[in-house]
Amino acid sequence: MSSIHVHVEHLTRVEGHGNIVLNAQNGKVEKIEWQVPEAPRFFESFVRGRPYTELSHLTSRICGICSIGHSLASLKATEAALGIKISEQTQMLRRLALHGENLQSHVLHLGYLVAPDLLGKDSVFPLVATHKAEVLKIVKLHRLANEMSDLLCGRTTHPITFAPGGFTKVPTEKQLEEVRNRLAYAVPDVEAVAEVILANAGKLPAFQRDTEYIGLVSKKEYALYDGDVGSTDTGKHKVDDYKNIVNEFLVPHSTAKFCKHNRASYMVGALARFNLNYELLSPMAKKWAGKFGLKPKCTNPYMNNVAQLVEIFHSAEDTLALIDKLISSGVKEEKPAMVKLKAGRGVGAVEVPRGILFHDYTYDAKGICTKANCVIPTNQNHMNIQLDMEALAPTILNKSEKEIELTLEMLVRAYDPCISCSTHYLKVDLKK
Amino acid sequence: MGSKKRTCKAEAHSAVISKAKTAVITVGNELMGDDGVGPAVFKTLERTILPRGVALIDGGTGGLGILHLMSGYDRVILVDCCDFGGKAGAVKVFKPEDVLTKRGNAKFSLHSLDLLGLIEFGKQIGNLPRDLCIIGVQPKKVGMGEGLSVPVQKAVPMAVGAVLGMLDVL
Repeated sequence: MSSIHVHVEHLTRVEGHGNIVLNAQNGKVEKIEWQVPEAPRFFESFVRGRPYTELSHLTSRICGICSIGHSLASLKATEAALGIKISEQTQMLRRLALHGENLQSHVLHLGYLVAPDLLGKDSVFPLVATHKAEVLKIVKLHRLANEMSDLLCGRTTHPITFAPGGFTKVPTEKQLEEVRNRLAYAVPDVEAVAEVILANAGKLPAFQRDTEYIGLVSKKEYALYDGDVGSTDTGKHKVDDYKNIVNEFLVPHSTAKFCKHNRASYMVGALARFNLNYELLSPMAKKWAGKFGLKPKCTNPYMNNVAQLVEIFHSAEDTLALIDKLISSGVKEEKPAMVKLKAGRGVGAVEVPRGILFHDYTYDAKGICTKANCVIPTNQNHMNIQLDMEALAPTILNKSEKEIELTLEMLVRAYDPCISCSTHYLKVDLKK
Repeated sequence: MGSKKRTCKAEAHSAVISKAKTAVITVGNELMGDDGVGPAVFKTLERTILPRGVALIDGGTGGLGILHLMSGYDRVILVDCCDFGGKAGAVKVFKPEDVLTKRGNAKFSLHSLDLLGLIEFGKQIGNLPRDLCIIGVQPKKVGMGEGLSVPVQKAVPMAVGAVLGMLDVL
């Protein structure tokens, strides 16, 4: 009688805390669970009673990686509720900020969290000995993306230049040109890292499970900032109708809510965006998708990693194009649009690196928030992770426990979940 | 969750680098009890007149971004909560090479990273300041909750004093 017990407590190389539990007996899975034990954060409660000017600053604290996306979803919800219109320049600068966030997050995820699995190491640290040049490129790219955020948002994390109706400070054309030049110069570095991932892409398991893919869609662009909600199953939906899409529910083994729409689960994130918007990717992004054999509709969740790499190229190319457009039209010293307070409700949706994000606010006539709802991409992916694991586990029981554990860990990491954040402090023994 | 970054000067961090060669970087989470000692030291130093050429940086809750914050400086003083087996509120100044063993698992996340692991990583990729030291404050309690314990509150002026003392000899 053979039994398998895999219990990964606090999976490494993901954000926050999640556990993987697998019990199998004689080739049959008895229990397979993706458990999220994180405590609730209560953002939707404590923003009630706060004025509209504070919401984007408060909710940007939901995440340290996707703080730009949270700020923008928040601002869009506030602007929709209060009828605030923004200029074309503001829209372009916000798109740039989202590209900066995408670059920052995807570079980090692939370079630090995924690459060790592909190269047979426990973490990025041993990679310095074997792939120093590529590690240096990752660090350099990360730094550049951070500095792009500094420029547009006032600092790397938790934007301070964003406001309802616009920006409190805009970058100069000279500053944008400097970012443009540095990014153009960095593209070969991205290609060098991509070549290493391509050389090791065979280590991504060839697992397929068809599911529904959901993300923003637009006729004009590969949608990150604006659009309708698209589904590979049911087509286009209005952002205001998001509750009928996400359908949040509770499960006993998780403190996070799960979601479902047309099927028992759906997937959001880079692979969902790729499947929905492939035609609108930049030329270089499509070229690199082709090198990996990635084409829509891809139903292998491990390929979310490759879709993120493809998006790095897209974000880089679109950033160059946007900056060229801003410089040629001239960057104006605009102040945020005037706000006339009124009661209202609005929903804002943007794509953050991990998927589509919704913020929904209701304000009273004095601009005070009376109700808020936020649906995070990682929440939307939990059920898909669970069902992926249920389909995958029976097919890998013939492997060693160590291999099973790694395969399941890589599955969860492929989603790039952002569960929460935790404390740190040093614990050392010192020389006397 | 999430990290914040502030500088005591109005200029952006990248503009300050070209002028200052020394940085004091505080690290910690104000929502996790004594892990907030770094931010507490920052707030005190922010009200202090520091020697010319010294940048004071709030490193937030740490993470890989600390590597970039240290970049471009010759000398960096890091201030952080640190369990070195001392009495609660004790302050220790040490260099990374003084560490015999790290107790507890090194974590790797995009938000927070074992500081010594980060320093080791920076050293391996050749991206560390020439002179780096850590001012550690022994916590009484690290866990969810605002406010420092009494011994660590009393340690804040000592940690600030240690920073200022080091700046005088640099």
